[in-house]
Amino acid sequence: MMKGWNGMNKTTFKINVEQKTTQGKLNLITEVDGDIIKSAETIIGFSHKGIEKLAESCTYQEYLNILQTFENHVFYQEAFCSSFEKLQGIEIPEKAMYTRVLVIELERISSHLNWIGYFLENIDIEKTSFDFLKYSKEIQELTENNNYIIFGGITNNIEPSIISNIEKYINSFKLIFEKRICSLNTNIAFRSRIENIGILTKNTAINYAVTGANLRASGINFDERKTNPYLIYNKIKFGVPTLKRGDCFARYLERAEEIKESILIVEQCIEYLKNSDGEIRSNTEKENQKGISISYTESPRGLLNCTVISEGNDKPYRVKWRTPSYYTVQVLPNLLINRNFNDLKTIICSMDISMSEVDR
Amino acid sequence: METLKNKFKISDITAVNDNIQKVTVDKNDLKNCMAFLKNSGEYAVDMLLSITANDLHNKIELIYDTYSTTLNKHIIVSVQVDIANPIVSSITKIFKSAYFDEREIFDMFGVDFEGHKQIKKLIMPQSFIGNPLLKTYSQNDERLEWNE
Repeated sequence: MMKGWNGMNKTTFKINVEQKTTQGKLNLITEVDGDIIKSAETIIGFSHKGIEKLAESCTYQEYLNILQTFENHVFYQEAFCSSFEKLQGIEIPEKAMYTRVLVIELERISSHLNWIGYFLENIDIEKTSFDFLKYSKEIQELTENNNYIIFGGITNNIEPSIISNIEKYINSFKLIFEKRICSLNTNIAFRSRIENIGILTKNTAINYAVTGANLRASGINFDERKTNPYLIYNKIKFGVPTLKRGDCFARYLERAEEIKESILIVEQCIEYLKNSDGEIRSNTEKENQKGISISYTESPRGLLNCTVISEGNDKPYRVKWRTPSYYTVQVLPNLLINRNFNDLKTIICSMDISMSEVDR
Repeated sequence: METLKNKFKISDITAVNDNIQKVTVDKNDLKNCMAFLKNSGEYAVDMLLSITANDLHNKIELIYDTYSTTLNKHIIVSVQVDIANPIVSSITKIFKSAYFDEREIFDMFGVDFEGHKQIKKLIMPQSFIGNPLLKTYSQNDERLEWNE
């Protein structure tokens, strides 16, 4: 190890990343010259759950229930349901779509806030980080029951009392959040730690199929909700913030801006749900169709695809998940090479990788 | 679609989700076809979203889901390989995102990718025997017999 100090020889380090943001284990084998990283290799597979193999032995309904056990499971359920609905040719009622969007956007806000909390903790701004984690938890608990999504619509109406609670909370949260972000953005100590670090260029991001906030922070305006709207997103007004610099600060700012847009969506959904009644679930009792269907949905970490291949039985023949973090992990070595060893922690954290999503 | 038809031998065109075209090409044409899609102005494909493998009992189907960020258009290319001789050419030189995908398919289905820099198991342990996502897998495994 001492040889590495004088810059003559490279030293190999095996690093086991176990941050709170990664939610699982990621192994990195790095070659270091002095304190500059010269090469890096990622090793994954430590939290493999086999959810693709599991699908072969479950009926569609059973599999939907199993998906509940994952973190941010609302997005998985939505992707799987919409894939199944496309296959069967089921159209879901408008009220169900609005409810789904409401639940999804609350989960997205919660996920982004959770990330900001742990990101701040990682760069040693702890007091503020606790507040963000607290908001994240509070928003997650707003809907009380997190299992609304089902084939053909939703399980039950969100009660009026819950809706008014959400409205009250979001109204007060909006102002607090603006203040918090404003004070963070003007904090020189905070900015100097994350600016111009881990720059992800446009071409690299596209070539490695990085999606979500990481891609938009590098200057490409690609959001599945806007480009190919699903559910009710074509009737809702919201923007897609895009930044150009592609560094850690841009990725942080991108997520903060996305929270503001998500709040706008939540407000419009509440407005609709307050004075609407109608069907919440359409008939799904059909014979299972043969064929292949793919659903494209925007999860907080990027593009989440679910491919369902059916042979006409009550069980799916094959289910494939395209999870966004799987592709973000691949691009990590590119960001780490020729960077200082101290930046490793910040760069990995800034990409918002979930290892449970990578290994599936 | 005409230019693709003229250039490569296309055995089948079907629609996925009613609006995305799925093109089945010969496995020897795969690399050229991908390079063509990337470089032609008509398709301008720049992202390989995912590779899905599917066991068709005597064949394995590989489904390449590609996307163009400039034209906002999907096109799906599929190839079929014999399960007895599962070798396809690697496309990691065209799309770098295929690196993990190809390793995973090698791991889960036993398909070998010619020209891949470092083909080895990705998710299962290196000592693991068998390809878990093949339909014949659990029937062959003696370790699972107690389960039935």
